[in-house]
Amino acid sequence: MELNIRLSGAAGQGIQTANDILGKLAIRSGYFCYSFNDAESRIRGGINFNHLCVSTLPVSAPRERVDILIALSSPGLESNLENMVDNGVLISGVKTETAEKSTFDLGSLDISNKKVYGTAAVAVVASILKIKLENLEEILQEQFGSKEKIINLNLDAARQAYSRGQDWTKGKALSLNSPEEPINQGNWLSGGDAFALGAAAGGVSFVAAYPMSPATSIMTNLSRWSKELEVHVEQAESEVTAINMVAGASYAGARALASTSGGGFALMTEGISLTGMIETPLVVAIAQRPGPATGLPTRTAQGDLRFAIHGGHGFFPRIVLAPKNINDNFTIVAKAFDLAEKYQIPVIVLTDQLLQDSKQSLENFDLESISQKRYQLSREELEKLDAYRRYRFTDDGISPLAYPGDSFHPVVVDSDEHDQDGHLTESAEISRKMAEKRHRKLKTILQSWEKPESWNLKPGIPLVLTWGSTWGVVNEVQKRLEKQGIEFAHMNLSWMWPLPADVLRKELNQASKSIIVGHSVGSEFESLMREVTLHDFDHAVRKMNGRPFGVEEVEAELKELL
Amino acid sequence: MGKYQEEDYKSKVENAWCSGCGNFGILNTVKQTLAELDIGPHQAVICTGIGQAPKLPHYMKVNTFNGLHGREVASAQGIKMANPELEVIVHGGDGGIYGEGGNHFLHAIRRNLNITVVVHDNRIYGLTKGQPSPTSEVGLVTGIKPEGVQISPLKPLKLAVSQECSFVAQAFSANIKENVEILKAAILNEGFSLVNMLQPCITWNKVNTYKWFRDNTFTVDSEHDPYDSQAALELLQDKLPLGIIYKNKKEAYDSKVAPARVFCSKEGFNKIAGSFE
Repeated sequence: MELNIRLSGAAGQGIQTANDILGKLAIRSGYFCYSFNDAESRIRGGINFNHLCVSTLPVSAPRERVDILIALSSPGLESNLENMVDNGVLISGVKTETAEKSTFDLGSLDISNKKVYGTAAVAVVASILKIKLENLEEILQEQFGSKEKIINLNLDAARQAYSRGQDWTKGKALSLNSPEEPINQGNWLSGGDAFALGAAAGGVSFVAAYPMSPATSIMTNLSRWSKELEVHVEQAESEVTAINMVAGASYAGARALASTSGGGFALMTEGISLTGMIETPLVVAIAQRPGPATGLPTRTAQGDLRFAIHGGHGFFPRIVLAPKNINDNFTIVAKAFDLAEKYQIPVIVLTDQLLQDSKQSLENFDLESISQKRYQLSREELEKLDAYRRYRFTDDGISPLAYPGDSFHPVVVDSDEHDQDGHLTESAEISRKMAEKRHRKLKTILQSWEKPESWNLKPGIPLVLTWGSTWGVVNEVQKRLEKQGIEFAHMNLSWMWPLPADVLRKELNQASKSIIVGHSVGSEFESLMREVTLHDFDHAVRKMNGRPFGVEEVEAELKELL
Repeated sequence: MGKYQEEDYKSKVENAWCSGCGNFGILNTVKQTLAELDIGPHQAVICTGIGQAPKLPHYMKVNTFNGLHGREVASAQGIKMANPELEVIVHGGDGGIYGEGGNHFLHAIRRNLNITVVVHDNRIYGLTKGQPSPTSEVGLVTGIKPEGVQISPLKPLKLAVSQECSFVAQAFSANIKENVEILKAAILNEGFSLVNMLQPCITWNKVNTYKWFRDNTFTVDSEHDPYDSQAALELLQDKLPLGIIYKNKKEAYDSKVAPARVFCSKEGFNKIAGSFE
């Protein structure tokens, strides 16, 4: 059972803060929570919303359905009314003529400062959910306690609204079962939060980035936590600077990260090619948004898959990963740093606006589960060598790694084709051998490949294939349709490149029907899978307007196709 | 005698510069300077891009990051921030540092890390065969400008002084003895040090020859106060001054770069990860 609360208003009206307070409140009361946002690319004004789903079951995807609409602006009210269910209620901070809806008028409270309307609305919801006022007061203290005037305004608004709400909710059909058992998911955090923690767990020590939505939260988080996480974050003057800076830092021994979106990655491609050539480990985050060009800066897409796989001139091995949910933004990002150093390659993590900005209730992250291995030669090992060869030919293509200053051996890297010592070469034979060495790594890398996660995978039934964050919506639809007697297998790819053809081909060809789902205008995921597996998909479900799939629409579409 | 001799920086790599190139003198200057400062081949990183000047570190024994054309200043800053103990020196050309990498150059002056940037300024493109560079004088005739260069040259030293760059000097490649002193001062300076190294391109630039540079340069007077920006700008008029032109006492960014390490403490991680309840 779930309740969907949509908080709508203009940028700057505090709907994000109200959403967070409500999310924490619900989690502490034992519910599962998930929220996603819809924001315009502006600082103030416009029509934004945050949508919070409070549930007695885990939630992993956006919904269209609205049970409670909190509207702090008239456009916010009008644009979301159509999503409201028949017995839904409206908590309104603006004058409204929607008589058919049951409305709680925030204007009827004795509140002089409209900035606390968000808190008042949260208190009304708390009364609907029958959560104690003290619990809300506690969270307000945590949020605003350091500012006396502000906390008093908020507490006053909350008390008034809660008290009025208790009377007002009497006789309303709206309610939510109390959670059966307290859940073990007491954290409330976003994909951007998890990404930064994952990077820290993976050992990141240097970040260079230029702000770009929806990737900015990664650099912001790591910067504000830099002391605790022992990482230096440098705001570069461009993405070109960022990638070349990060390549230098990695050469000097840092675990380095550059974070950006598609447009910034376009500027970084020359540098990605550099890291491929000099075999310097590196993690690049691409938080996708719709393109081409500036596109829709604050909205979601999965359109940069091919770009992440192919961006950069010349051939060089790389790994492309795509976390499926907020928890994976921790584990997969941490793993990316290990893989980058293990294979001395760039690793690209493809996330997207939906995943970065959505929030959910989550268990504690397990730092113990993350590898803390480093791969360079030790000083002792280096000093036993007569000479250190940065690009020594090896069977697996991986040359011994060393950092400048770690021993008396200089470390030489070159973006030109180079010999085993790192010096530029024109030799036909060395050039061929060096290209082959890099190419051999492609096979070596696949040793770390793991079979894609799947749910209810068995031959002879339809298979729905997703990648990255689209997992969330199909995961929920699978459960919904199962209850209606409609069965399908779900496979999600998080390791996007390189791909072993045979395993995937086998699974796809055993399905009675194959359907691919993604937030993309074109068919790039489909064409990539076809290229690798030679499998023709029966259907594709795509969304291309920057808004995330809602569970309802994918449920309806899959029902039709199955 | 110091710990290191010029011999310790010797490389076996075959040199691909044109015979008589000014780069040979600069290479000797670098080796001698590092030896005199007791900076070993493993303690310095020479960071370069693409062109003739950027081949320099291959012709000596030293940590080398030979990255992309014009991006050497960006990479050098990353190296310095990741390991401030390394002595980071950039060698690039006028095309790479002032043209392709102009934005990196500007912001590196602002960032003021303790690195040294030596620009081999021969006022022409060498490796790509004789196109005008950002510092080519108006009227210089080249293959793609048979009527002569028509746009004004960049004034990198005036630009650096106007941006209150930590250290600004100019040298002429043939003056090895003087240049060792200039490069030593640049490396010892705590902050972003720019050395514009005038250099003839004997193959492509038939105007700015050894003789031309001798006739058109002068040594900065020992009375000159490098901390006086007006005096520095006055030096940068028609004739080309050689020596330390400008200095600015400001704290290098190195000391403000947060201490970082690979794998943070468990306590630090748990403090942040535990703040979402």
